[in-house]
Amino acid sequence: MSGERLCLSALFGLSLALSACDDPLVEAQIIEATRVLGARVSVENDAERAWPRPGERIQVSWLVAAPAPAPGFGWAFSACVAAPTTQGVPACAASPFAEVASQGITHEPPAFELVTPEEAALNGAERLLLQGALCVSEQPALAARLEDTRCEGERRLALLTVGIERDTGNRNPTLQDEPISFDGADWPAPSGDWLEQSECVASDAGPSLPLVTAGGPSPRIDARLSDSDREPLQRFGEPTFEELWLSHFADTGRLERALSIIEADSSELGVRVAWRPPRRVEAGKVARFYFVARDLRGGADWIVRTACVVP
Amino acid sequence: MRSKFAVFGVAALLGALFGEDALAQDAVAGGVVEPPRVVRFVEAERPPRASDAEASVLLELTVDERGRVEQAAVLESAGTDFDEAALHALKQFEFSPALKGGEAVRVKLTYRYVFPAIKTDDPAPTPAPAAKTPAPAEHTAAPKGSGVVAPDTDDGFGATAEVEAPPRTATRRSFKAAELSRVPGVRGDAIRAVDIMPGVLRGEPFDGGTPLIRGASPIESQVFLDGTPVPLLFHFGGITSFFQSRLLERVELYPGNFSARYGRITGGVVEARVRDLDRPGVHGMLDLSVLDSAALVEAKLSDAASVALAARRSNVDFFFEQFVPDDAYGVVAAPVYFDYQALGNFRLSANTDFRLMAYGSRDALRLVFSEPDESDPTLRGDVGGSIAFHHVNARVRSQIAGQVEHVTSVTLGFVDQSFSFGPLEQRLEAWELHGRSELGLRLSGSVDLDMGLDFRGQVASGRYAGPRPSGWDNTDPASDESPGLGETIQLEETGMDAIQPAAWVELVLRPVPRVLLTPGVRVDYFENARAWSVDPRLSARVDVLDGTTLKGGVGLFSQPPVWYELNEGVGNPRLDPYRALHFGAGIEQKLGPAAEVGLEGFYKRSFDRVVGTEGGRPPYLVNDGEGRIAGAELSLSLRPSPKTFAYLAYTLSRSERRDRGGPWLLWNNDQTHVLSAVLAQRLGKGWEVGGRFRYVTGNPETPVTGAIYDARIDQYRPVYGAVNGERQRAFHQLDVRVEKQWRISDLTLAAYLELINAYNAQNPVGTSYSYDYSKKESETGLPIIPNLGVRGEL
Repeated sequence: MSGERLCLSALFGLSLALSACDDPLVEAQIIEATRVLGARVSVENDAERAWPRPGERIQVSWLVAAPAPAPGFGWAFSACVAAPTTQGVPACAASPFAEVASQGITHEPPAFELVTPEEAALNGAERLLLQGALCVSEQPALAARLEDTRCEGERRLALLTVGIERDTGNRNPTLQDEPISFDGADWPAPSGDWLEQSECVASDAGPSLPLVTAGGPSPRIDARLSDSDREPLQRFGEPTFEELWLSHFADTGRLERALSIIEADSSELGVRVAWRPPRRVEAGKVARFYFVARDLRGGADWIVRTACVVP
Repeated sequence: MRSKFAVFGVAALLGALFGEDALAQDAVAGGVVEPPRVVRFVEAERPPRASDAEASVLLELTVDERGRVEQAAVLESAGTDFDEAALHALKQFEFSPALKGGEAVRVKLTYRYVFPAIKTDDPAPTPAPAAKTPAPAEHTAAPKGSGVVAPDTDDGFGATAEVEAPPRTATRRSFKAAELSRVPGVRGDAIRAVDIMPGVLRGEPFDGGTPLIRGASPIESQVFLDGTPVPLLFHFGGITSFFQSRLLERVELYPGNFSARYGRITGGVVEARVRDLDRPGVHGMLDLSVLDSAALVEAKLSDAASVALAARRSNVDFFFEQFVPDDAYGVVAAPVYFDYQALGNFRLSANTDFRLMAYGSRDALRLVFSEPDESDPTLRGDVGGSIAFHHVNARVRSQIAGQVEHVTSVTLGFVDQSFSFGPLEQRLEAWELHGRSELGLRLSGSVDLDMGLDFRGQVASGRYAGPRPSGWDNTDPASDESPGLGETIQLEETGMDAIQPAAWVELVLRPVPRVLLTPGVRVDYFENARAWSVDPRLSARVDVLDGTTLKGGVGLFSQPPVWYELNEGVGNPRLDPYRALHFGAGIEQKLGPAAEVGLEGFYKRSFDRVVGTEGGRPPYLVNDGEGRIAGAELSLSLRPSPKTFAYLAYTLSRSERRDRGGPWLLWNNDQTHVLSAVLAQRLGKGWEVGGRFRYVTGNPETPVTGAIYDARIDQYRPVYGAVNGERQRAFHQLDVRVEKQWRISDLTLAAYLELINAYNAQNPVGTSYSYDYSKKESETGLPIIPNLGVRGEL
């Protein structure tokens, strides 16, 4: 019985600790610097498939956000067959089979294509490992160990493990076609170049750029996923579904939390999160919102929305 | 077996001398007789309606070759009530046998039992567990016709003479439960007070509770209740222990080189010994405090039967919700714990007694988080669980033909536990069977033979969804990461068996009167690991001078993997038991009748430890870890007056681990300096005050030097610097206790206030990081905690 006797003790200690805790050191839902927010792998010609079969070509795209005005950055990634680790930072089982890098400093998030190694080269491995670095205003050179990669300025390291489809596969959830509303009104994707703009005026407002007054009431944001976004699984031999995580971030104001979870056994697929506008802005400001859905098995999708905050 | 284990102990206890007959024979023979020594003192009940004046009873005792009181007769009466009380107590005394030429001999001696006067301005604190005892008794013994020679007061603080009086092993630290109950900061809990002893490191609150002994992991040490392993020592890992201290006689710590009687562990042993129910009449106790409430009833039904019932329940749930933030979580079930004990002692014949005991414990807590934790989203939704265990123990103890002592104890247990952490869950139901059968033989006056069988069995069923266990004491800091960062496994099984029989034998040799050698060997079979172990051990004690004892020990100790580590779906079924070598040597020195000092050095080397593989790759767990621990322990006990108990313990140690042939690294709980000082003082008029101060070097800590964002799980994975390359700030804490007692006829009332962390030290317990590990801050431990309570005893 020795191994498990700690659990309830830890839980009680946790409860006491939480009783005394205050605000976190940094709030994850606030975009305060250049950050990687997600990654998506799509099999060529079957974009919903997140796990490739041996030999298949995949497209990999990363979601990067930064407060406006966003600085440029350079990036470099490598792909290798993953070692069968179960804890700590995932590691390669062999030397990378592909390396890609940005063409100098860019504002475009990393996106590239790779070909999954053939079965013989995979040697039974169950996952690929994609890992890389972004350096703000600088082109990184990947070190043998990712954490040893150095940048003169801000550095962001990121990785993604990608399952190999054999007996089972995995599909990406799709957020693009799911409804999302801002304070009860449909909230379509931004039109034009609002994602790149940092300023706005009241007359710019529209469905994709709802108008919000600084210091005003907190609008609620409702997002919904569907059953098609979560695949059936088994838990202790019983049928269940994937757990879906919806992460949400904003570069202006404050979302009440960074993460909403749709539990595997939940029939409620809707998520509501309130957003508190900034208390004050000097001039109209475009607020950007990022919503990333994940199935925790490597499947992901995201959408970006905007609002105009005026004094 | 208790008396046999104590036969050669208490080397410097003063007060028991040999009789006139023996002296005369020795004079004729010209030999030297080593007198019998008291190894078990039983305090006499002061007669309820007796006068408060001092009374003494002079008795003549016949002590046999085994140190048992064969006969007792009153030579000088103090009145029938006093005489009977003294006789009742003296018949339960145990002595080391008188030795002549190395042979145990039967002797007569006189013994004066003194009931001291009760001062009207001092209600005389009641030594637990004797709830009704109004005043501690002084007892003196003298050779017949020579008067009082050696007073040896043994009141509630009279621990010093026995603190380091190991009977056979190199190191045994033994305290009366009643003494430990008075240590400030432990809320009257004798088992919790083990951390005042040298060799015991500081554990974090709520970390499970098993003491950290001589640099060993908690998993490598075991707490026993009369030989039966305890599955859950403390409620919620540290609040209070599962067993009512007033039903305990002693708490013993064997920090290393322990007897072959104990096995399946490589660290240390804590043995809590249940007392015999031998108090006449009916007694009760009710203790109400902020944290919990406890009650005890004890009754002697006849000369051959006594029973006791005790229970405790937490009060925390009555006010818990007042202290939790509204927005953190909703409390579905506040923390509740309870425990119970039921004992029956039955004397079946003059030489045989039987004890039936049931005890159990349950902790439960359930919270509902309003939103997932940012750093660890597995902490969300319905989080909580319960753990309960119930044990029924039957023990038969008998003497056969005066030279053989036999004890058989069987414990049937059931453990039921359930935890959920969001999507993680663990449910387990386990039946346990523990059996011991022990035989003690006196082969001659200088040779004892002890042997025993020791069985442990378990049949469990359950389900588990959570991170894959990565071994205890893994030097890889990733093994302690959030469950959400690691691989999650699912397992549902029935019939997870663990059958572990063992046999042991020990010789107790006294080749010359001042030398005690205890060679032993233990053979274990670990059915689930399909492995045997043979562990030879040796302890030696030499009384080089009166009051000076040199001691040493060496031994091999084996421990099986934790049962689930051998499970195919969890760990590695090909794991072997791992082993440790213990070396220890030291000296015990009496400094007059009121003080004793002890100094020991130790070295432990463990190998084949079960550790995780690099990155948790298959086969996940391997026998590829090593450990080395070295240190020194100093203890000083002072008893300048019967009203004062002072104890100082200091441990200097270094504990290191090496996994998979890597570099030697500090153990996660390595604490270079551990200082503990306890002072308890009776002030008169029923007042008693005490304090305990502790200073402990901060635990090693591995700094986080960076982080990598894992897009699959939207969490940052920490990148570590030098493993255990930094240390937390030192821990220091003062606990204070004040108690006031009033005596109203047979009723003793007490009110007490205990301040844990009296000066509100902000002691570090760890470091918390922002979600991306870019910022950090120190976490501090519990603040000042006042615990106010009242107690009534009858």
